[in-house]
Amino acid sequence: MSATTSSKGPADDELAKRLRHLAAVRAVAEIDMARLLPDYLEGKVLINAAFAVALNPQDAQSLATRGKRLAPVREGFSGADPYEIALRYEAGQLSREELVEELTRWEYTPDTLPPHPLDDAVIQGDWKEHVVRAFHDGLLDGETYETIRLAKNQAKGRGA
Amino acid sequence: MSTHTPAVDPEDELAERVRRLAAARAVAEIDLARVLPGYLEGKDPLLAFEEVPLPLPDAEALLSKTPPVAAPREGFSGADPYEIALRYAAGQLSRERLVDELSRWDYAPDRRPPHPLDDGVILGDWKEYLVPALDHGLIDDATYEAIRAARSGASGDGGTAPERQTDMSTKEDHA
Repeated sequence: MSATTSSKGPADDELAKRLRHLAAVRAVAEIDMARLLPDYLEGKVLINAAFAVALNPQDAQSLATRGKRLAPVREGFSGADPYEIALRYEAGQLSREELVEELTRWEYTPDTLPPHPLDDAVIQGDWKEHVVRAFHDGLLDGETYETIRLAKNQAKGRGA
Repeated sequence: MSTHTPAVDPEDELAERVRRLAAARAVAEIDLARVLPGYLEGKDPLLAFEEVPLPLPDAEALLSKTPPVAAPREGFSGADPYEIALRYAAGQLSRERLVDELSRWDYAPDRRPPHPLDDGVILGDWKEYLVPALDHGLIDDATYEAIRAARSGASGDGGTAPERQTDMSTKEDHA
């Protein structure tokens, strides 16, 4: 059939919602495992240690490698960046209130110019890199996005 | 740093946390594989993943799983005993429900392969699913024994439910 993305019925929305939730649950489980695995695997025989926790060894290894590169959760927040915080909200680990509070309080790095003067691209700051992406991926709805944007700008206006 | 902790230590709290997360992810992936075909119906696959936090390559990997993810068996929480044990380890099932389902499961027995000169064995459901669930720490010894006892009690044949095996050869990669 050709009429595709424009004909979204309620059943379709339900499926998208469920898929988004499951994908977020999967993503945060991976992030959490990645952070724990370097410690867990240390000093152990990979194959035994992986099977003992229901992981296949290659998977455990690649998650551990990813974990070593992952930034730690920022103190006072539920994630290393706003996207991770939004994932946890979608996975059901944060209330909407907590989400809005954390993403309002976050100190967003601004967009910056790349180091080379002839490069006309822009290095995205935290807002575009994480919050806009979270909105596009359906982790935040339009209303929540606006609430955070307004609260953030108000806080900024007060010089907070 | 070397450690005195043995590789398999059921008391290890860190192992327990990793295992629970691994089970949660595995269950989410099984559920995703079941939801994806319906979600994709009538959509352009390149656009379908623009609005969800699942990258297209991950979705493709989930859809091309071999063997493909089957539907849950009616009256049970999974397509096979390993999936049921995963859901228990992920916190989706109580121990009571787990024991009930895995005692009720109609386990396919071990079989001989079709070719007469092949001296292997095709593992039945018990060795294929329940023994790995025990080896991977999804269920503990006491739970394994409870299921085995309930099954022998119910059917009078404990033949397909052997004592705990330490044989590593039955380990399958279900993760």
